[in-house]
Amino acid sequence: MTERRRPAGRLRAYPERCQGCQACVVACSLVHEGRVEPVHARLRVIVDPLRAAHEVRVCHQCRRAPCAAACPRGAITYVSAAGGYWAVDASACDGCGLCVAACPFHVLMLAFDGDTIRLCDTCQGAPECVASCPAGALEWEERS
Amino acid sequence: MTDARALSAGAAPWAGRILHVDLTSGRVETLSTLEHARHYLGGRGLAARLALDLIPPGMGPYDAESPLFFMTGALVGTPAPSAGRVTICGLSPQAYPHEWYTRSNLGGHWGAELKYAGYDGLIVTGRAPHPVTLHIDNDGATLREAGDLWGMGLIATQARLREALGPETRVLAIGPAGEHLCRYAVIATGTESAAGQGGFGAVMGSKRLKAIAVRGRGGVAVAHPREMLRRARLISEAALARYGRGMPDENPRSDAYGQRPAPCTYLCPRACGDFYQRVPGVVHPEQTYAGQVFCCAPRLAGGEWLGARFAPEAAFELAQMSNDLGLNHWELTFGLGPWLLACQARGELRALDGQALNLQEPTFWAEMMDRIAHRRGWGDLLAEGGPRVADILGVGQDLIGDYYPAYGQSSHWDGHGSFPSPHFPYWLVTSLQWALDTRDPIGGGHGYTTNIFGLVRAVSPEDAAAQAQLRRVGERLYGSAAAVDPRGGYEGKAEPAVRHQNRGALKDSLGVCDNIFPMLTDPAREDYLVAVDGVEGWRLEHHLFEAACDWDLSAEDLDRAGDRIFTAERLLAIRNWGRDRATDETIIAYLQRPEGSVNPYLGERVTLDVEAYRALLDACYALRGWDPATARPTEATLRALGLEGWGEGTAVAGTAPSRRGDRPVAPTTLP
Repeated sequence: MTERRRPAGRLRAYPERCQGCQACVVACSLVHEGRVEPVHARLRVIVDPLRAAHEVRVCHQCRRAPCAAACPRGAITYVSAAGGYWAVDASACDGCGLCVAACPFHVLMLAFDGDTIRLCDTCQGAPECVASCPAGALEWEERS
Repeated sequence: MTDARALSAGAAPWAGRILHVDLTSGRVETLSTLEHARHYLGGRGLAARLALDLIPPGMGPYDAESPLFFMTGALVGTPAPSAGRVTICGLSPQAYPHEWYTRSNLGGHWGAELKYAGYDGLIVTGRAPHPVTLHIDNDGATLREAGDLWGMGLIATQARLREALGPETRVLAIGPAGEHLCRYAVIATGTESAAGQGGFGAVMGSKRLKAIAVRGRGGVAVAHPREMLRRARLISEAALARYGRGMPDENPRSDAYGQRPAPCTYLCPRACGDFYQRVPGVVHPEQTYAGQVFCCAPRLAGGEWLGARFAPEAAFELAQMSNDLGLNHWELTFGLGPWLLACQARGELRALDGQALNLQEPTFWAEMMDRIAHRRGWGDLLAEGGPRVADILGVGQDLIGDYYPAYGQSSHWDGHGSFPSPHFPYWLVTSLQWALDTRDPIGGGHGYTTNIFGLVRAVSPEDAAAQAQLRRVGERLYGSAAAVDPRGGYEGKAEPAVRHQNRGALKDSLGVCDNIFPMLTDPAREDYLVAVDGVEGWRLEHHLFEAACDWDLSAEDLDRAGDRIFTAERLLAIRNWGRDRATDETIIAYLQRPEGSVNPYLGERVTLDVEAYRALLDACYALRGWDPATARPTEATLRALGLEGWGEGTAVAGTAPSRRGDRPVAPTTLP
């Protein structure tokens, strides 16, 4: 069992407000990957253009993170800077995928080339996805 | 040639390759984007340049080798607001009398997905031996048999492919109208994001290509990521502040029907459409319908021109039926429908094959659309589109000119016919754009009407200070106070016509939306002029482009690219169809009819002064560097635009007009 932690905050998604525009996904991948690469974004918006009902999957920054618990190499660790958040040490990750299976919110993704996972680092408490959303469908919620 | 991969990985937003799939042979190859990207950018521009190579004189839309282009704009895939747009173009079955080259444009997520799959565009040639779907991902393209999808509605086809391939698969498809080669069949994604004008759904149908499914797992490079994001956000916020969200008028809004704002395009903040998740049917009361609604669909509710007004629910149902059948309801609503009614009113064409035309009834519309999309019975005739129906029947030919300004397309922002807006003198600008174009000039037309007519309507005629400010806006934007002045008459109209026409070409080549760009005026600002991040409205597209691409291209270079792209399209029209000044003047007869609304400053319906209008055409040619006698670019203009050589041999006097059109060769059922 992973130790209980207290990340500074978490993302909260309001899918009923989401317009499905993908601005969050584009911004996330751009700031983390240096390119726009939606499959490597740390959140996903699964758009249904035929119903306009969109699924928004965000990292919850769990207090007891199942992804970290599942990792046999200890690659997902708690960083106490910026109020605290879970992060991946890419050099320690071997892409086994156990964390992906463990995530209850289906957010974690293996890189397309299958080497390491991508995990939301909350942009150190100032998430770019929230700043990019034109519809108020994402909020940053600080833990009190 | 520059290495595509090295460049793509560097500092420019292109994937570097264009996919070419030949359906006859099944051959798949790629072309370099970068050979032409600097001069033609992407989208409509790249297509125009490639069309000069790939569409020889004499080729028709249903010839197997006729290319169908699906080209993403240069900024598609970057964070630029609304940059999800794709130009679909080729030879147009709807164009009249010549089935010439023109373009259409749609939003959705398909274009960005194509870019992430590693392609800036797709060219489809050939004809498959049986119905197929095309599947594209980062490993390439494959064709699959699609006999089970052939005959299916456009919505159901997308649902089936998403189910089979995953919910993040993006699909472009045709409905029965495309399969049956209706001349105004659309290619669409979602429920109402369609390449509507042109009839390109029929071209796709003639190739037996039912759908194109794309999943991209790669990315797009941006030269200055943080700066790009910052500029995109500022412009996105400015667009929301300027335009608001959702449709401003006419749509029935109801929580009960699950109404919510929904953008048609990737990365659009505005959501200028509304999505309704459950609307009860009127024609089919046992059904509920879901779908998106933009400016056009509510007009299926009818109005004065119809002599009846349907319930909003009926209009919504008809719009969604039309979407599923893959029909362009602009043609039905503003062209064919009003023309049929006018024929009826004159005592002609009361019935087809003995069946009365009861256009005041939604149930009749539902039957009519279904017959048209399947070319069943008299629907086969109406599938030809208004102008050709008139020719075939020899009925109401003189009435066609009341609803079709030119080229087989119905009224659109020209102040006359079934779309009586804007009023004089603003329709001078949009009609000049019609005159020089190959279709309704909607990219350039929106740019001008949204910014200028929209501003004028927000200002009181009695407010002297506001009127003075309007004139200053004209000076700032077009170098002429009269260009914006409601009493400006014929003065200063050529400059905005050409400027917005070129901007339309640029915008379609960057892949951004003309309901946001160019963002020039704002009645809420003291000087009525938009500036974002210290950058004036005309330069905002470039402000985004220079953050995405570190090639040395100035705002003036981009403007020149717009000019070059429009001129390249003109060269193709001259070479293949003998385009000349007489063709440009087609619209004059339409404009000599009474205008549709009254300028509140003048208090009367203005009648066209033909001589003054011809002088405006002269001024447009002068601005473009075209010879006013022939409406052709001069050699000096071609040299200045880097189009040397293309002006030679343009004496080819094109193909014979296709008024009836050869009946297409593709079977409508599986062999």
